[in-house]
Amino acid sequence: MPYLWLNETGSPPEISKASFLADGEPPLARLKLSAHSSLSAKGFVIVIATMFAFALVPLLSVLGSPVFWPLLPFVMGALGLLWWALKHSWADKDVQEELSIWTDRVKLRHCPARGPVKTWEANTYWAAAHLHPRRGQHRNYITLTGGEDGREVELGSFLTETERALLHPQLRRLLESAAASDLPL
Amino acid sequence: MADAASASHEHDRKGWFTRWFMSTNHKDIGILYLFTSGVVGLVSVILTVYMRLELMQPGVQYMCMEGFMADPCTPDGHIWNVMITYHGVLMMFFVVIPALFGGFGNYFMPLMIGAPDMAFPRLNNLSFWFYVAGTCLGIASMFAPDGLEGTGSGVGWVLYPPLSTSYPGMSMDLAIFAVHVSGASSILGAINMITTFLNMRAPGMTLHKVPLFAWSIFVTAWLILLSLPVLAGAITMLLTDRNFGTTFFNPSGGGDPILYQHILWFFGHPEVYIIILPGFGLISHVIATFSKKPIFGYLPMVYAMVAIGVLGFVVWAHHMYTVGLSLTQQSYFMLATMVIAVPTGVKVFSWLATMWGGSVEFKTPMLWAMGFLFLFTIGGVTGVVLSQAGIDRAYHDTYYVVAHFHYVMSLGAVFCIFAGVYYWIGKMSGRQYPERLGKIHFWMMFIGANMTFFPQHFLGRQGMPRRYIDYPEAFATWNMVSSIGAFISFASFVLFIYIVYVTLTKGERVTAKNYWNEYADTLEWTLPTPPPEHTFEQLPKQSDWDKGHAH
Repeated sequence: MPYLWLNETGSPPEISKASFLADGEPPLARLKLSAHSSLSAKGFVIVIATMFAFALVPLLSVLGSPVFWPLLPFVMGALGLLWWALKHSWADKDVQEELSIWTDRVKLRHCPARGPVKTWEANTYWAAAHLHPRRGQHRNYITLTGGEDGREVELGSFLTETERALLHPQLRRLLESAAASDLPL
Repeated sequence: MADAASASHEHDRKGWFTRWFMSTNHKDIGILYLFTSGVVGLVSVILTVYMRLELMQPGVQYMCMEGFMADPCTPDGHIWNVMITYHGVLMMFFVVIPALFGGFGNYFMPLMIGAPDMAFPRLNNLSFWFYVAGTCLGIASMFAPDGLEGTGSGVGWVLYPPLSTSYPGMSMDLAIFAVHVSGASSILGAINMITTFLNMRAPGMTLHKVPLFAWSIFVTAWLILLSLPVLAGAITMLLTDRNFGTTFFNPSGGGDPILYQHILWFFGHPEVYIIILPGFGLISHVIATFSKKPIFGYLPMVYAMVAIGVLGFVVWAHHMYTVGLSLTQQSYFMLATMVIAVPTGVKVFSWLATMWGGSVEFKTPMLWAMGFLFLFTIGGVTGVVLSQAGIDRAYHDTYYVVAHFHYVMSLGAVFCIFAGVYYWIGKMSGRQYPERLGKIHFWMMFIGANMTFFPQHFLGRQGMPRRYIDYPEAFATWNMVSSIGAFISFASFVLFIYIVYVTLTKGERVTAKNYWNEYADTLEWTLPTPPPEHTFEQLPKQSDWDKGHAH
């Protein structure tokens, strides 16, 4: 799930001029982006269970002998270390961004793996999404401009360049139609 | 969110000391591993030269109580025992694993799966320095007093009690600490590799699409993680038996020295697969590249490695047929051991099938790979011979065993290391090795190593026992041949050091991303040569690595 539109269809919503939702009401569209990590929850269970099963081979064969006790902490310690390492790696990659769009407001929340959440806000009318085919080491880099503090911020830098290329036109169309919904009918 | 990146992406320059001594970069740490294991390998090889010098002729000429080459000479068996012990300990723990798993594994596994670095870069640094510390302890042990009248411990790399628990001096303790620290290094390294492999693969790279070398590192990491804690427990008990009066392995207090052998070999057998498995992965890429064909039978290759890994845990007692196992136990371990020939056969035949009909190009890495294939198969066949409990009665502790495991390790694993060095040195350094010297190196080593170890089959069949400083005159001919072979091999190693020096200082510069051909199709070949400090900070495109034919 690299990026996902939070609604029934999972695709970018259609916004007509009649869909007026101002800040404070439920947003017109919500986009959730998260960094890729290749280990699934099920994979974690399989890995730990496999290691436990194999760790029992030497332990069961010395069960009942005093040698069992010196072996136990080392073998189970290694299992514990693996558990910790996998969890820690998940936490390292737990980077999420959430973009919410109203008729008159755009809000972006960036939750890094560690440290405080960062936010960015803009008036929908001024907010714009740009796609830079090449910028620094990034390809298809998406930035947002028009924020109240004048910063230019990145969106989905942890996605693949293909994903960003797909995301940008959706985003652009959505921002345009959301801003248009603020105009008098 | 982060502010948008500025267009110019500058990195602060690191000093030499910071780069190499405080490195958290997987590529730098891989290079550190390769160089360190090369140095330790040289030490370990020098020990063998001394041993083969002594064995060149019957009688004892060099290792004398009175000093080196004294005349008259009283044989000093202790020096001999120290030589075999430290050759074994260094090669098993401090040379081959750090080179293949630590060196190539660190450098290329993250690149092949499109990860920006290892999962835990600082832990990676800790692993490397633990390895260095362990090496220092091991070397220190060689020069520390044994508590009798010499220095170093002559107990063999397996550290069997009661011999290892009755050596009074600190040398034995230092040796145990050395193994402990290297074990800690390997366990931390293995956890790092497993986590990286599981959680940091590029999007779309399912387990059945991961390149074979990355798979081999993953399987190896599992073997390390499951077997080394057992060894750590076993040698901790040796320490307490030695120093705190426990009797885990001492019959006078109700302990059992045979139990130590069981635990040691429960670790020791997976250990030999830990040594060779990364080589299997590496060789697959080399053979595919220089046969200009995708590897034959990708999935069977993967599952053969997994099967070899799993079987490695249930065959340990074939190292101890002569300790008094019951007939049933011997039958089981014999059959289980022979089963390993099946997945190994799958691999050997798949490599052959990869070459079959391919446009084979005999570049230096391919020579090493084919040398590996031929020699590893010989070692594997003698392994099947030795797996029979009945035949092992005759061959146990003879030079036949020495020949067998040197064929799989010295000629198998070490040929893999050289294949890897020649295959990737251009990628790592940006300079290509001299082709003609590389080929000379191969032929010297191939001839030398075969001359060293093939006659040892004959010696073993004639009944020459291993681990002795001297032998009857009847064995003189083949020992002479074997020693000459060892000197040729050593000369080839010196040539190799020269080749590395020449390559790094004067080698022809290579700038092409992929200087072999399109069958070198893993992700490291999509990077500039040499790769920049930071790679894959942006996830790679699937089309960069997903070549449908490769899996």
